[in-house]
Amino acid sequence: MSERWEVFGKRTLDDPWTSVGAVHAPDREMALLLAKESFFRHGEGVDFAVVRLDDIHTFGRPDLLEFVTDKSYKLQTGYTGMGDKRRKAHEIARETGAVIDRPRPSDKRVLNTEHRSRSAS
Amino acid sequence: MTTTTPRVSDAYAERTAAFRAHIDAGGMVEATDWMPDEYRESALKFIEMHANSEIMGALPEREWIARAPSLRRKMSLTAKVQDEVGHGHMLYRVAEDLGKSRDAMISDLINGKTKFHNVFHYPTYTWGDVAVIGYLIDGAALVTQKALLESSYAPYVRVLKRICAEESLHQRHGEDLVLELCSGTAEQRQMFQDAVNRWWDPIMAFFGTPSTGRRDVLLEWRLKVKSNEELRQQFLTMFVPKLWDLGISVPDEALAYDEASGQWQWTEPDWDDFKRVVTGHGPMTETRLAWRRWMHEAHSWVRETLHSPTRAAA
Repeated sequence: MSERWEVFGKRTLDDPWTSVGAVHAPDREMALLLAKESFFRHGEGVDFAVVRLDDIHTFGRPDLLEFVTDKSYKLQTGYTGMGDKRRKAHEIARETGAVIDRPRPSDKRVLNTEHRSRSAS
Repeated sequence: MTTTTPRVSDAYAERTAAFRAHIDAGGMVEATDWMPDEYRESALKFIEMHANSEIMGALPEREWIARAPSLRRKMSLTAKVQDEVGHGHMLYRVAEDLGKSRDAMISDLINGKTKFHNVFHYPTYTWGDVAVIGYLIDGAALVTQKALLESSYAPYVRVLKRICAEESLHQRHGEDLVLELCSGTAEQRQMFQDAVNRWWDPIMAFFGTPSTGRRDVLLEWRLKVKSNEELRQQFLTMFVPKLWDLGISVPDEALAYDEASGQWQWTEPDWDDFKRVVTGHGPMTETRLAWRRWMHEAHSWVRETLHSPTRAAA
């Protein structure tokens, strides 16, 4: 009897397994062969795996993945307006003459955390 | 810890040379690949200490969950602590594949046989300390962890990708705390300034000593790609101007950016003190380890339940 097998591929050996699709096959050998012929004929990766659908246990409760209360602090979007807050805090420091104006590197973009978090939100 | 027995066999030397060439050419290493003993031992020790630090690093912040100033701050701090503990467990999984069981690693940690980062051996006094931990200590950790994304050990890199994504969220959380204090009352600003003063030396020490001339095995095997000093300079560039802009000073008279060399000058902390702290003799080491031991004991029933054979339902 034919069963459904989920297929996972790796583009390079360092990549994590990524779902690429599914095949129907009666056994593991056949599933591997069909997966190879269906998804890996054009240099799509360096390895792949098949897993019987029955062996994948879904959670199946989308309602429990939604936040019942406000949990925006778990998301990048929960911290928008940081630029305004930074300017405001800087302004307060400036008014009191507390700002320390000393030589500093001109290029502040040593790490692109700012850029990263903007694109993530 | 195990020690490397010198091996003289030609086959071993040959394999090691081939492995070295693979590393030097930018190649990656998987858990199932052959690797020289020195690589395995260094990777294990390094990743184990990273995991230990995530677990122990959650404790200073955990102390403030009950004392957070608002419900939102309480919940965001709780979420962050949960992330850190999660990082610890992901890292123990990676370390486990290098040949030491998770049980042994946890046991060595709580019995003080293995190390965790110096910054988690210190006490916290005010909410200002929480802001420093979230902003500057997580910032220091993010600088080092981002550099580790170039490491040669592939399973570590995969886990670090997720860790760095979460840490950059923590960074926002930390900066939000800092900006709130700095935009607040004079007392709140002072609270943050005092905390920066307390933590500055431990943070400088966190990056380790500048090059000692001794052989750095981690750099040689490309487990790490940047030197202590490169990372510290990157941290200073990233954070010092931001603190100055907020009117927060750094408690180091000698700290200055030298435009000619493009380098920061800074004062080295007391390295003997650092060594004492990181080898388990810090002001809070015993308290936090004792707490960790007690929790380990108190939760033993969870492990026993999960490991016991399944019983058929009646």
